[in-house]
Amino acid sequence: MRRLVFTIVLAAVIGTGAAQTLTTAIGQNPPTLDPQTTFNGFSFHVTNQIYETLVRVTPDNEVVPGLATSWEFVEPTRLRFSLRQGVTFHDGSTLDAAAVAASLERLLDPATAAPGRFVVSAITAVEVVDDTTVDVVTGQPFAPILAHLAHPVASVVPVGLADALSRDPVGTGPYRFVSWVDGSQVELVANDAYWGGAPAIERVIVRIIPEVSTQIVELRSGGVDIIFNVPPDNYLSLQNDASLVTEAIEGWGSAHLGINVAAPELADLRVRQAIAHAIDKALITEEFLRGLAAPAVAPIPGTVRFAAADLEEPYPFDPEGARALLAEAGAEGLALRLDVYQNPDLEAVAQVLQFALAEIGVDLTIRVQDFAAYTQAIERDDAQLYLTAWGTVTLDADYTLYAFFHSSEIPGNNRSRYAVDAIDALLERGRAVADDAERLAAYAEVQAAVVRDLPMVTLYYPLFTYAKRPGLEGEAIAFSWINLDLRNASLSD
Amino acid sequence: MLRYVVGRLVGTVPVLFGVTLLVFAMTVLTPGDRVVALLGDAAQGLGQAAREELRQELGLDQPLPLQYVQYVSGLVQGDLGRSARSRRPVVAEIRDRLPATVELALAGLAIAVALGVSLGVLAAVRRGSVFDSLAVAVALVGVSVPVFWMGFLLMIVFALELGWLPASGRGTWRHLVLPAVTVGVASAAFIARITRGAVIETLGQDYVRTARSKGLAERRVVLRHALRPAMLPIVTVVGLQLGGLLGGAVLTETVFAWPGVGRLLVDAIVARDLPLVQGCVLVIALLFIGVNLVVDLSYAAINPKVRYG
Amino acid sequence: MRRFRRNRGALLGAVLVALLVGAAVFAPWLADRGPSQQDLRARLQPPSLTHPFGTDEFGRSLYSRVLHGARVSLLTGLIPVVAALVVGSSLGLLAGFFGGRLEGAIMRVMDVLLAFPSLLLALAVVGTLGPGLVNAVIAIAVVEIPQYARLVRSVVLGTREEDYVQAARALGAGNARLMLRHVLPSAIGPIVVQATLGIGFAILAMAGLSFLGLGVQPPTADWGEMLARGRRFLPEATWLMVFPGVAVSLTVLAFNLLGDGLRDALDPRS
Repeated sequence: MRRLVFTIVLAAVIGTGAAQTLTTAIGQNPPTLDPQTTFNGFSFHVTNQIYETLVRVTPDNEVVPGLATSWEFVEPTRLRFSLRQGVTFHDGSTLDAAAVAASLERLLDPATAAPGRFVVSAITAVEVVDDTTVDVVTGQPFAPILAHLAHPVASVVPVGLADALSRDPVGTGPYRFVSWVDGSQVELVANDAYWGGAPAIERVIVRIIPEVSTQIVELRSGGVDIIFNVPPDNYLSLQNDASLVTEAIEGWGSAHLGINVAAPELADLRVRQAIAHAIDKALITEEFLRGLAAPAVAPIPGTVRFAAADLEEPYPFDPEGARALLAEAGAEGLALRLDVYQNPDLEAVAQVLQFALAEIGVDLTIRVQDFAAYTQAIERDDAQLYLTAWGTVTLDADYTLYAFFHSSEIPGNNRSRYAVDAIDALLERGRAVADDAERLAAYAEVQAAVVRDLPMVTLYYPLFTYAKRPGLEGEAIAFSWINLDLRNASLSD
Repeated sequence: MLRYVVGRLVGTVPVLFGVTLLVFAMTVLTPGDRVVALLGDAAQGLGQAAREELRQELGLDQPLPLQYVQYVSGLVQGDLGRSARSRRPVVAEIRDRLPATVELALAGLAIAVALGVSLGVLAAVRRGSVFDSLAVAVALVGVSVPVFWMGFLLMIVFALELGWLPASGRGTWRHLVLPAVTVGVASAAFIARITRGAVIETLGQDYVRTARSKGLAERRVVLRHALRPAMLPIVTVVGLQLGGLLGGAVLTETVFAWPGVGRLLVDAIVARDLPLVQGCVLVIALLFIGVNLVVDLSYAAINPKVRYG
Repeated sequence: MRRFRRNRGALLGAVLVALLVGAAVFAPWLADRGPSQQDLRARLQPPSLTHPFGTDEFGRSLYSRVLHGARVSLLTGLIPVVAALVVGSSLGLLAGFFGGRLEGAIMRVMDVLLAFPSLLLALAVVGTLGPGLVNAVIAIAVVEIPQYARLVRSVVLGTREEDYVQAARALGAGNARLMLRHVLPSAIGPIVVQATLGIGFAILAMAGLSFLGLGVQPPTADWGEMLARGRRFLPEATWLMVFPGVAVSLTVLAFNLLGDGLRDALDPRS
């Protein structure tokens, strides 16, 4: 024990002595540091520093080379990648086509039981052409495949190390893994052999701090350099702190009030319209979220490719109209249940909706459960309303629209049980055709239809926020905190 | 004495049996599919056939008594199953976190004893004075304030406003101060009350009066003659307080980002990671049973009367 | 009774409890508006003449919520205690009265429950049944059962051989009648003391579970939930922590004072 304490003290002394140590804070201990066996943001935030994908997405939603330098569709179902040469894993082994193929095959292998397997499930085979060329083959033409291969679950891992990766990750990325004290911190060090040149910040310490208020106290008292996803009210007070820098940028997220259109109480479109009319989206975004979210119409935010960013709101805030619609539908005195999972922000939105619906005479009961129980509950037929925070993580409309509105996703992601043949056809067309203009047309039609039919009310698009000490500069963050890119970042006092 | 020790050890066996049975029963009592409960996300997307296969693999198709026997035999070999979320052995998860919790609980206990005993003795010696009333009031408030509330208060004052101590995390002794005080305050208050009562009682005893009449210094009278016999009830209370300390540690670890078993347990509950919940509950309970055993035995060592009780 | 009245602490406790019950009963008349009445345009207002305790993140009156919270907290304090008292006392009566194997079995189970630190046992129950108000109440009740069982059993053991009980038995009183009419009354004093102190524990434990996100469902006005949500607005909106925090502490203090006072008054030794 004494030796342990001594080691920690020593580490702390050395740690503060070294220049260029960045300390970040996240809210939970990552369950694993193997990006293929998890679908957890806390894991991805760390693994994205250690591992890399074939292609990556920039903050402007452009797909750029990662471990692959170029790519082309040699057939509609065959995407050929040329790999970057001279890249090695942190253990010294070489990254080649065989390694890339083995990594993707491990992700696809049912025995891996990867929760993120669905991201790449369109892939039917991965074929090695030569040392530096690899083919990704899909059963059907699948237009958004590139975006899917940029997802963290598709990170290239050295398959030979397999199970050891979860505790002792080895990748090709800008940072090497040093240590992980469970529940306390993960320490990373710059990869001197990185193909893009070693990053300027030598050391990164990711601290695990569950409480937002504790994170803020740490940021203010100098214990950490950057915190993410600052709640709106805290954000505004940090904004007034001259010794800190705050950023709010458009993200990939959207918040939805899902409606089970198959539930008897909600099958009548007029009832759904009344619910939509009862919600003052501008009040929620301006007052409750303090302007750190944009009122939404389409199910996906404008940052996503093929989003219908200029759709007009068909059901603006109108409590009088809402009450009239309910009376017309013979649904006065309606009592509904809203499912939500344990998340302080969503629970708060649930209460705002509860009060808004009470104003039009709808009695809303909120049921808060853990995420697993919530998921089971809303996949049952007797589900009514549910609240969800969603991220279109591939930044391609297909990811969200297909999952939410295709009838084949019932039961499953299509919790609204929205099943319309014409919409199914459009969604299938959107992922099968390669031409962007045709895809745009298909998705525009889908979005216009669902906004009218109300399988869900999209409430707002939250801005992604973070706060940092001004010494940190040059960090790039594409849409979400999990994509923190420190390759060109620097730190000064 | 030996007979007492053996008897006390044997008496622990049915408790251990009951504790393992109760922890095992958690998987049976939890609502929903046990395969999902034990494997978490990994079982979520599986079809019926695959789930059936896993059910057999996990031995969940066996009769319950047999499952319990298997559970205990795994336990004896140090196998508590795998965490549903991280897929690591539960034993490894807990081993990584246990030192932090033990460190926090011991530091909290040290503060509780030091603060509680001195406050209690001083209050007893100056019984009826303003200091006494003040000490009694502080002790009462100390047990009435929510632990996490106290934690945030201390953090804001000493880390943010004064900047004397780090706000959170584990590392140097300076990191330990605020969480240890937070976790120790309620116990300190309790110990102070018991100490005060016990010392007041012994101060009224004949032999203390005799010692006083012999002209011994007051300090010596209090420490040698009044405090020593009063230690018996105090030791008992200290043992019991450790239960409260371990409970308070769950809340304190959350506030101060202290990487202990308590935080692990809360994360496991929120993630519905049943094997990990079971493991944490079992380990903390075993710790608690062990400490109480030690307390009882040392109690017997101080007080010969107990052995025949 | 006289002894109780002479104890200033106990008197203070009784007054505080009375005030609390008053606040709980008359909350709708004392409050400035409904506890769920939102006003998103007046969020997080510090205490003022219009909002005596300030407003929360929904622009709800904290004063009204703290008042109404007295109802929830008293109930979530009382219900588990009453449940534990009924179950625990019955078990204690059975064990003490019949002895033998039944007693052994009951008391071993109680030993097992006591082998867990109390909050841990509550967490284990919530971890098994899932989070939520009902499960949290069950959890706290389970934690408190053994104390009543032990207490009542020891009282029964003490009175079983008393003359008046033996006399009643000789007169042909049945077991049930003996237990309820002759043995139980002597246990009531200690039970009341234990229950009073137990309410304080239950309220604190409930606040702890709510803090960990394992307690009540919105929009119920519960002090623990207020503290749990209010902590997110630290260190700016301190009033969100101060008023519910003081309410919890005062309530627990009141029941502790009352319990101590009752114990002193009922203790034949002093």
